[in-house]
Amino acid sequence: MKTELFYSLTNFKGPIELLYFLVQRDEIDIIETSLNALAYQEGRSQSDVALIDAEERGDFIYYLAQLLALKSRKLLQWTQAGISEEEPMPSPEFPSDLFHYIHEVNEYEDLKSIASHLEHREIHESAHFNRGCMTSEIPPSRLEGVSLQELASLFTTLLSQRTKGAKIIAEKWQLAPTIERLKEQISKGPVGFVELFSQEYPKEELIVLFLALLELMKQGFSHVVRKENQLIIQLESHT
Amino acid sequence: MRALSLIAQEFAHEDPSEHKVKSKRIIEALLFSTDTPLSIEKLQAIITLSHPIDEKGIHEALALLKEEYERSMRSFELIEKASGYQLRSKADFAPFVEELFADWHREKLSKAATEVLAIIAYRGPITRAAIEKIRGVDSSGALSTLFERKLIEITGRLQTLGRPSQYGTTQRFLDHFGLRSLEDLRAKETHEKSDN
Repeated sequence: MKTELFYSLTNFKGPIELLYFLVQRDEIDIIETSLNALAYQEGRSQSDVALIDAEERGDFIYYLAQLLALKSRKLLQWTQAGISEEEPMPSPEFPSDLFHYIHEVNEYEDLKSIASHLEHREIHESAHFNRGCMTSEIPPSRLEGVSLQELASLFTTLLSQRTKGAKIIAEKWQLAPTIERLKEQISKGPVGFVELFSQEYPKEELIVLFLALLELMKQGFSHVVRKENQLIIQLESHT
Repeated sequence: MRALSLIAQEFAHEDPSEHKVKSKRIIEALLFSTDTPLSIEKLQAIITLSHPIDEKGIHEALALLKEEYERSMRSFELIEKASGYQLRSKADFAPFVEELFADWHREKLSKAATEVLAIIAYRGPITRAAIEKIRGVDSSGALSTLFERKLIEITGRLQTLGRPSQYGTTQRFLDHFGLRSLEDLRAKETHEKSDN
C-alpha cells in the first residue's frame, strides 16, 4: 500500500500532490515555497535504500518538476516576455473529501499556532506596565459613596422585607427586556434604589431587576450614587 | 505659567542645531504627561508650535531619547506601538510594579478567546459563522469577551442572506500584543516557523 509522505514547509504542511493542487489554485504562493526544503525532506525520508519505493519517488520527481516549472515561470514571467506558455499540466487526481479534510486540518493547525503565538506575546507584554496604565486601563467606578457589598446587602434586606403572596410564573422574567425597561426608566431621571426594589414584584422579578441594574452598571449606562443618606440611581452621561 | 508664544520666541533665538535637543526634551515631557501612545503627527503638531520640525526630525529625536534611556540603564523604555510612542516599565521590574498594583488584576484572555482572535487577525474580516466553521464550536461567548475588551469590532456586513456582521481586529488589539501592524504579526509568525 502506498504511504502518503507529509512535508512541512513554512507555508504548507501535507503531501506534495496537495501542494501542487493548492499552488495551481493560487491558494499557496509558489514564490514563497521552498522547493529546496521539499527536496531535502524527501531525501531524508528516502535515506533507507531498502525502503525506497520507485513509484513513489517517481511521483515526487514528477510533482517537484511541475512545481519547479511553475515557480520558474512565475519568477521569469515567461508569458510577459513573449515566450509561449506550455499547455497547463493536468491537476493531480486528489479525492475531494480528503483534500478538504487535509486543507481544513492544516488551516486549523496554523491558526492554533498563531493563537499560541498571541498567548506568548500577551504574557510577554504583561511584564511591561505602560505609563499611567492604572488610570487608563481601569474602568471608572460605577459606584459613588457606596460599595457593591452595601448595595447587595440593602437589596437582600429589601427582598426579605417584601410581602409574600405574589405568584411566580416560569420564564416570565427575562433579563434582556428588563434591562431595556430599566434603561428607559432611569433615562427619564434619577430613580431611588429603595423605591425601585420595594415594589410589589415577585421575588424572581426583583432578582432579575437587580441583575439588570448590575448589567447596566457594567455596560456604563448607569451608576449608583449615594445622596443625602439615600441611594439614587442615575443615568451616566457620556457626553 | 509661561505663554507658549514666549517659549516659541525663546526657541526662535536659539541656534537651530539645538532644536534637536529641545525637540527631544519636549517629546519626553509629552510622553511623561500622558497615559496614551502619541503618534508622530501629534508630536509634530505640538513641537511645531515652538520651532519647525519634519517627520524625520521627530524620528531622530525619538531615537536620541531611546538611546539615552538605554545608555543610562533606565528602568523604563520608549516603545513604538500601533497607535504611537509610549513609555513603559522594563520587564525586569515587573515583580515590583505588580506588588504596587497588587489589587489590580490584569485579566488574561482565555484560550478560546485567543483562538478566535487569531482567526479574526488572520482571516478577518470574517463572520461568526465562518469562525465557528473553522473551530467547530460555538464562539459567541469568546466574541462577546473580545468585544467587551475592545480587541475586535464590526468592520462591515456580508452581502448575503441576513447580512451577517464581519469582524476585524482593532488598534487596541495591536497595542495589547505589542504589535505595530497585522503584517508585523504575520512576519513574526513566519520568522518563528522558519526558525523551527
